[in-house]
Amino acid sequence: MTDAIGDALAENSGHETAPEPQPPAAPAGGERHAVWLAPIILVAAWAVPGLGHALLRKWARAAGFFIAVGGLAITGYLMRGEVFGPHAHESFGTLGFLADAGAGGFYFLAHAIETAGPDISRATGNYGTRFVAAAGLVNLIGAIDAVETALGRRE
Amino acid sequence: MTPKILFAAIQFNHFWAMVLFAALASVALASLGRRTMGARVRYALWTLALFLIVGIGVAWLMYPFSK
Repeated sequence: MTDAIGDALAENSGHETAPEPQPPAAPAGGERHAVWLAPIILVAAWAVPGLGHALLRKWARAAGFFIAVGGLAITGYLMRGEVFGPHAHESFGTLGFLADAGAGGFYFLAHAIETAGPDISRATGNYGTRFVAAAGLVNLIGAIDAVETALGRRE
Repeated sequence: MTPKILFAAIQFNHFWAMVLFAALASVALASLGRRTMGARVRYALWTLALFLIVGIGVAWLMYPFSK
């Protein structure tokens, strides 16, 4: 009887019992790794396409990015596309360098594969320039995806 | 067979450059956008088909202006 009265009073007075503490919710994406790992994943994913995902044991995605970036970069070099250096004299050259350098390790293979230098006097060489830039941009997207995966924001 | 010899052996014209670009870009997009292997394969094939259809379609539309 007294319990029932007490409950009724508490209900009428608007006081509620304090909610029990809940454990922190799991991230909406996949497994979350240590935050300090993110910069390492970022550098690894940039340096070797797919390595960031491989460190996270996402083997299929790692293979996909390595094939895509490597295929685009090597094809671009074989087509004698232009590879921009860091000391460009115009803003488009700087943009080209940023895109090309996104390919990481493959950027540094350019001189080894493209021994005859670029030839953009032909359409094939122009196409090759786009292949090389696309390789860098795809690798940058892959590196960002690897970091997002490491932080648990993506599966 | 080195890549350079292979590259010279296949008559690498504009069409095959487009096909190769579309295939590699499709692999990257499928790796990024889908999480299971089956879904990746289906998405890559679908993206490749769209790349080729749109590419050939745009080339066909531009053909009268090339002369």
